[in-house]
Amino acid sequence: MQLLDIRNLTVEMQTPQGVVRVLDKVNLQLSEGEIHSIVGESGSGKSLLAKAIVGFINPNWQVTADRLWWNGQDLLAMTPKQRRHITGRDMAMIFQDPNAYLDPNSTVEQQIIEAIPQGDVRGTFMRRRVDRKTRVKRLLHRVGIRDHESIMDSYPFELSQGIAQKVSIAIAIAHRPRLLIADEPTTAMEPSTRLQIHRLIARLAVSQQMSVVLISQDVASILPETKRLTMLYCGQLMETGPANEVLSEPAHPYTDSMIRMSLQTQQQLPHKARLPTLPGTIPTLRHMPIGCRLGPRCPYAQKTCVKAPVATHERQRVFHCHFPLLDTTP
Amino acid sequence: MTRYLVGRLSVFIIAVFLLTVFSFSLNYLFPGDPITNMTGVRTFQNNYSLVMELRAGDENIAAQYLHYLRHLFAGDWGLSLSNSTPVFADGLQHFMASMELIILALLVAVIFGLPLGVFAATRFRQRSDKAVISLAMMGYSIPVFWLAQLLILLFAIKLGWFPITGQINPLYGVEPQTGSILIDVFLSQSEYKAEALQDALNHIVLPVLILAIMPMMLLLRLMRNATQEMLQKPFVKAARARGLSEWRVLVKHAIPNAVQSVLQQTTLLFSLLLTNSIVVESIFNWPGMGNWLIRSIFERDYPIIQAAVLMFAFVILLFNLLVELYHGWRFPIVRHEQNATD
Amino acid sequence: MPQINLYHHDETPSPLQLVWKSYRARFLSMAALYVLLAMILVVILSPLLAPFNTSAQFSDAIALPPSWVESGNMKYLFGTDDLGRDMLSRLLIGGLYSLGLPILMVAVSSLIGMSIGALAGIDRTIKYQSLSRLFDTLLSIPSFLMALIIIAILGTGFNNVAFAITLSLIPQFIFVTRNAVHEEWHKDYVTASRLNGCSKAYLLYRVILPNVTPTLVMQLTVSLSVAIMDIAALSFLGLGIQAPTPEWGSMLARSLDEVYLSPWSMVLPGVTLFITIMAINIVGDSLRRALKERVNS
Repeated sequence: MQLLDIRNLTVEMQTPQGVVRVLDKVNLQLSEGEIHSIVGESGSGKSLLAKAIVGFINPNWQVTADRLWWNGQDLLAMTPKQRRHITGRDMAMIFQDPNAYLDPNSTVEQQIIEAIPQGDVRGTFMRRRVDRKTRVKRLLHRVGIRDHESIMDSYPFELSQGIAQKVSIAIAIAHRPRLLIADEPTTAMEPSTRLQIHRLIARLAVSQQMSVVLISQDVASILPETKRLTMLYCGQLMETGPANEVLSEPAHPYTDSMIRMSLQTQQQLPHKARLPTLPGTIPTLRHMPIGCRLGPRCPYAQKTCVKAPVATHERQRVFHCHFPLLDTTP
Repeated sequence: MTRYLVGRLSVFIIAVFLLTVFSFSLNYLFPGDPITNMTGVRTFQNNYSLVMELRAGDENIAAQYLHYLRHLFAGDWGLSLSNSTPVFADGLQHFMASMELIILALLVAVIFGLPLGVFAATRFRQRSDKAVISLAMMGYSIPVFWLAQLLILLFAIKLGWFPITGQINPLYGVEPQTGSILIDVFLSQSEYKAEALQDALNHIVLPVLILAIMPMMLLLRLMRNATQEMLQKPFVKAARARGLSEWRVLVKHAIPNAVQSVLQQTTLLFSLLLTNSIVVESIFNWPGMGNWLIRSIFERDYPIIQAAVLMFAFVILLFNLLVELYHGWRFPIVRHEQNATD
Repeated sequence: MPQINLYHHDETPSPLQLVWKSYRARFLSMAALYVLLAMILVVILSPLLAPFNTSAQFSDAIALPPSWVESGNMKYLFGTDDLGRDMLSRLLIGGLYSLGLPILMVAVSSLIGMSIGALAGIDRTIKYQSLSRLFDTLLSIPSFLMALIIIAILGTGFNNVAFAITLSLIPQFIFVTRNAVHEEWHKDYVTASRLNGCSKAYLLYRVILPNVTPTLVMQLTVSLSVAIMDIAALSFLGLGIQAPTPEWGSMLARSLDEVYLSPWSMVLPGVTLFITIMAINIVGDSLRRALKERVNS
């Protein structure tokens, strides 16, 4: 059974100019222990997708889905309280700017203790205190912080970004979640720190038997351990499939352009050559094109692109395009 | 913390020093003879020459100031011009009477204002929030002397629940010792202590209530805005995403941070409280500093004006110092920010 | 030929327009603004509107209730006080002292305070930095106390009171302007303009000023309500505008003795004062709210 099963998730937002679909029929399947990367430029709705999973969407927005199942339970049918319980027990989330996501007025120790489930510590009052402290130390060691004494008494504003992100990961794994959602955890970090955090997440995924949804802006900063990859553009799913296949043999023009835009994958770019980017800019929310939203910018677009393409299933891969780059005729 | 402490204390000490310079210069700014203004001894009195010598009246300003300072710290604040009682001893009693009123009002304001503010913030833009907030707006806009009149009219005259003026019924014969009526009742030898206490409480309810309303409404508004702002902050969202209950998120994360931001605006609160205490004391004929100051302005009793101003300003500086020290001690981020900008 | 709008055109309003737009959207804010403007208009026109001389005592109509009460008289719309003076005229002319005078005082003190504050805000010397903390501390002394001290020195009287309150308002303006300018000064867009070689005067007027305007306007409303409260409180205590001159605060001070006889003499000036201050507070509060909405969006 899939751990997380999302079918046709749609999020609509009311604006003075009318209803805007910020997520348009997105599918996502995730099995136990899998690392899934979601890639998309800004405004693609990737953070919104993450928020929809943990249930933190502005209550004024309309969330509909044919299926939003967690471990066989329908999340949309639950009361907010039940949902919060599930989220708190099974899921955890880390964010782009870790310092802002830590309470500025409590110490690291207090914040990690708060995340340790009550049932984990037993015994007398003093026993529990000591027990909690050792647990905090162990958690900090697990996320690669050796200097636990000084970090435990620190306040978030005294931490560097990398350390703060490690602390948020420690908080996130304190209750042994089955799913970790990492929303651009390494954007705006130094390359070495970024590498550390990435390795940490990958290692924890294995050692904690934890699924990971990693959200990133470009294909270069996804984990090498990524099993499946999903490409989002303007709230529409472009392509999804096993990461190595998608990256080596993109089916969707958007995936193709994202790969070619990324400098890391394109080292043999000739001197003074133009960077192969898509023409135009990302449309604003109010001016979404009809049909395939990539349409106006797509080099292969034709008349039929004003209709939304249906999903094409090709072994483990799914893509939404009228004119895929992949030869689909068997 | 040490650095913060030293910084704050030195600012406080310099401010107090400037305050004494100011109150010294008041002697020259007030009409009349400076030495008279300082001591309350008039030029035609016999001991004027003695006082003149004690205060170094014929030496330069700096020497005069030093002598002034020495007398100030020795508690010799001169005599009242109108009834020749020692100003310092009088002032102490008035000070205590005022403090009793102000501290009780502050307590009332905090006890009701903060929780109501949090309540309104959790119901942000709902009907109950709007009701609380409109009430706060009205309470904050009502002129304190008018409010006092209305409440006196209602509670003291129409309903007759509370007396109109004074601290206690003089029949109980409670001698003013500290100035604070509740403490005085405890210290008194009267055999009707319980009744006296009840009478004193009866007298104090109305002034405290009236004095508390504006600061309470101010606190309510500040707290509501701060809490509401905190509830939008990423770390609160993260705490919610961790599955913490809304109550825990509020108590552990939103409220402490909101209190931190409210504490930065307490200057306004204290100045409001003290300004209103002057008016309220005059209306209720409460023997506090405000009443004392206003009366002395009418009587042109310059030693008293000076003493009252000095006390008022000192109280404000002290209050603010205490709040700042608590603020820095409880919330390390404050020290961090302060030290960074120094 | 009708104009057909083929292309949807996105308008991007300026920050000031944005503030105004979100301000305008709330009914209460606009109502308060209109009430305030109406009050100011009435006060300006009060010498023309007042039906009687404020000190004229009508011996045939002493302590007459307002006209909507059974025993009232249409000639005296709001009734008369215990000396037989027309309440309406006294309220109208009182507005000159209770609302008109504060506006004037705030105008003068804001001009002085903001100029000093703006200069202080762009002065970046070390000496100034260390002084600022001290200045902040001394500012915690309430303006009412300062006004009292000045009155104690100069004595009571119309001119002295006006001078005292004007003077006591200035520090707040210096403080707020300095902080606002100071805060903007450190933002990146100002740095960019500085690197472009703009002069200090240009930076102040064209770069920083538009961005601190709402904050300053907010401070204006705060100071106005403080000034009204202060002058009314001083008059109430008998230290402000002296007795025969009608002022809302001093009218209230007299009324407690005669409240049994003529409750309206207490209610009417109080309500007027209350509505005025509330309108000003709501305008200031809505402005703060509109400002926050702009920053958030």
